[in-house]
This record gives sequence, C-alpha cells and structure tokens, in this order.
Amino acid sequence: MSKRLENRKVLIIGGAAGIGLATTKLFLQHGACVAIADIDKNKLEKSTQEIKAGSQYTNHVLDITDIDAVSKLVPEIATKMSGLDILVNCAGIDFFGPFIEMTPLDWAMVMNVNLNGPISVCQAALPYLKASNAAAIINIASGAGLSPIPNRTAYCASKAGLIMATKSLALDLAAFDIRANVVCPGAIDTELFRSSLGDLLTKEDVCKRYALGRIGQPQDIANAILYLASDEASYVTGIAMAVDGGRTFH
Amino acid sequence: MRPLSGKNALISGAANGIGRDCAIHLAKLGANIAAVDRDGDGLASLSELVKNEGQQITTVAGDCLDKKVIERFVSKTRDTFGSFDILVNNLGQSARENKSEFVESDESTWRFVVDISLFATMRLTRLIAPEMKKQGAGRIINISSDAALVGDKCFVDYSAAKSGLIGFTRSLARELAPDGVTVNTICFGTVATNAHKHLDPVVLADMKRQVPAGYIANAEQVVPIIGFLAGEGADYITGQSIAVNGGRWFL
Repeated sequence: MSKRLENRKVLIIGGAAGIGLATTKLFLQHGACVAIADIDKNKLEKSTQEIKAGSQYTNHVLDITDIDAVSKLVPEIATKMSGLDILVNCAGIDFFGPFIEMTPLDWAMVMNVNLNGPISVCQAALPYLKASNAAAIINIASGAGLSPIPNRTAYCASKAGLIMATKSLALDLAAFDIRANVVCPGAIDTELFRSSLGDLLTKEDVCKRYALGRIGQPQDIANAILYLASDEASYVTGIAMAVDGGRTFH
Repeated sequence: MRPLSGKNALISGAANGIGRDCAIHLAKLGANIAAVDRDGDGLASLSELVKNEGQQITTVAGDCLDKKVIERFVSKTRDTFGSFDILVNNLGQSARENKSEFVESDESTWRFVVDISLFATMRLTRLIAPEMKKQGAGRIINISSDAALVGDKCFVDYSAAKSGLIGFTRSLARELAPDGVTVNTICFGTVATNAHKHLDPVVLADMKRQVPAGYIANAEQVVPIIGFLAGEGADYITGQSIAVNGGRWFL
C-alpha cells in the first residue's frame, strides 16, 4: 500500500472515538503526523492505548466551545508539529426531541458544538494552513444537513450551517491554496449513533432509510476523508460529499 | 496487491481527454481495461500505455451512436474478461462548432448531443447493469459536467443531457442498491485539452477567472475521483453527484 499522507501534519478534532478515531488510525497508516484533540479525557487515554502510535502522534484535551482554549491550543499543536497541513473537524453532538420541547439553551448548545466549534478551530488554524503548500480542511457535517430527518431541527440546522460555512471558506481561501470540503455521513455505527436511537427507533428502522439497506461504518467516512485530504483531490474544493448509502441523493 | 487488482473496467470515449487518463489511472490501480472510442489510433496508443502498467486491454473502435458498436463492445469485453466490475460512462459531446443560442438552435443538433451524451450511456448501461445485478456487485460511474450545474450559455442541449445523467444516476442507484451495485455521477469542470492551446487568450483567462482555484486542471489531476469511487473505500457512496471543478460550483 502506498502511503498517501507521508509527513503531512494533521489535526483531528474529535479524534478519540467513532469517525475521528477511524480517521486517526487510517492517517497514521498513511504516514501522517497526527495530533488529536477531544473533549473526553478517558476516551483519549483509551484510544491512545489502542492506537499504539509512536512519536508521530500526540493527544490533547480540548473543548471546542471554549474559544480561549481553542485559540491557545491550536497554535501550540501547530508549533509543536512545525506546521499544519490538514485540519479534520469530527467533533459533534446529536440532539433530538420534539421542537416544541426544545429550549433556547438546547439550540445554543447544538450550534456551539456542531457549528461554532469547528469554525473557531478553522480560524485558529488559518495562519498555519496558509503557510502550508498542501492545505486542506475537511469538516464532518451530516446527511441531515442536506436533507432533514425527523425531530432534529437544531441538529439539521447546525450541520447545514457547517456545510455552507465550509463552501464559503472554500471560496475565500482558494486564493491561499487552501481547499475546504465537507463530508456528509449518513447514520454511522458509532457509540454516538447507538445512543441516539432512543426508545422508539430501532437500528432496522434506520437502515430502511438507506437505499443500500445498511448503516455505515466509521471506516467508510475515514476513506472519504483520506481521499479529500490527499493530493488525489487537489482540484476538489467546496464540495459536500455525501457518504450515506443512498439517502440524500445529493 | 493493487486496490483494483482483478477488476475489469469498461470506459466509453476512452481514446482522449478524461476517458484516456481515467483508463491509465484505473490500470495503475490494477484494473484491466475495456475501451471504446471512434478514434482507433488513440485506442492503439492507449493500449500500449495500459500494457506498460502490466494490465490487459481490449478495445473496439467505432461510433457509439451505432447500437451495434455498443453491443460488440460488450460482447468482446465479456469474451475477453468474463465479467464486468466497473463501468465508466465517459462518452459525451457538446455541439462544438454547431453550438448556438437556443433561439437559433436546430433540433438535429439537440438530437445528436443528447444521443451521444445521454442515450449512448443508457444503452451501454442497459447491457451491463443486468449482469452486475446478477453478480451482486458493481460500480457505475457516470461522467457529467459542471455544464449540468452552472447552465452556461449556448450549451442548452449539452446541459440538458448532462443533467439527465444526474437523474439517471439517482434513479438507477435506487434500483440497483439492493443488489450491491453503486451508481454515482461526477461533474467535472473544464479540463485542459490540446484545443485550449488554440483558444483566444481572453476566453481562456475568463475561464480561469470563474474557477476559485485559479487554474484549469489537467485530466490527470481530476481522474483519481474515479479510482476512489471504483474502489473499496467508496462502498457506502451511491446516488451522489460529486463535483471536481476547482470550486466553480459548490455542490
């Protein structure tokens, strides 16, 4: 297997679980230097043991809704790696329930984690990405940002916001040779997904939404992120790539 | 082992441009190539390049407007390779020297453009899809264009045909999903060809201005998306339209 990210310096937010962890493993296999940041210290420790990586890997605790922490840690990481080529924003939360019961605080929390957080990280990373000659931003939104799913007004809106923010960044940052793309996963078999099923919905119900009749694996999304991060996608910018087993037909 | 080792890929319009670079790219990834095109000389030189990559190639020289050519292409590929894993419907053509604004256009021109850019793809796919369905696996990749998205002037027929490919893709993706066959569209932006060397520099500069990336890519730079969609990494992607256009249109 040829290594497609040899010595690329990568920051993966939300890298300790699910899609982020699959991406971290895949990127390390492809020769990248990877720093991961995650809010969950226990998961960071667990995934670090699982990865068994060497000196090309570091992990950091970060709450992306804390702008001060973001603007302090991102430069520290970039400085430690002597630069930053690729930023992957994987952190996100689910939130569901009838709209009538949603509080302003619920709405704000979802927007803070799923939209404001990744944008803060993009901004903090920008000076380092500008200095790279292979710069790419890959944000992870959701198929729910392209075509809505029931009882998730805030979630769908936050992901749609991230999709459009990414397209705007693609337009504005092209002048600096920074590419920006967004991946829109369907339901992916992660802890976050399993916790979001609730009492009324079974995994089988969810599978029926997808033409291929199954939900995805974290690896499916990691593969798409690898493509978008690599030189193979050098002319790809501003796209929303749906990896969803056939639901959004985007 | 290379990612597409043991896979057989059919590519229409493979002698030049994106089709040619696609064939070379898929061969580099380990696929055997079946190529059809009007340009026999182009197919002959492509054959050498594919063989240099250590892969087999079978070709049919002929006009895909002729149903018999498509049938011959399919039967020759079946006889040579035995099965079809990847189908890249790359064939298509705008009205070129006959292009005009719609209000001055002729139905004969529309018929040619839609026939070569949409119907030929449907005819070829009609022969391949049943076998992919039967084998329970397959990748169909339809090459559309940002003409389908942007709506350039004087390309009414071509835009209609290329938009048609997007609808064709979505509908077919639903039909074939239960049998493990994925169907996707790629919307390429303008790609640098030899013809660009003869273009008015003002026209060329205007083309570049429309692309945020600031340059017109070579075919070689854009075809890796086809390898990605044909490979294992894209198992979960179907029914999608993916733009590779330097940011000219945000899909």
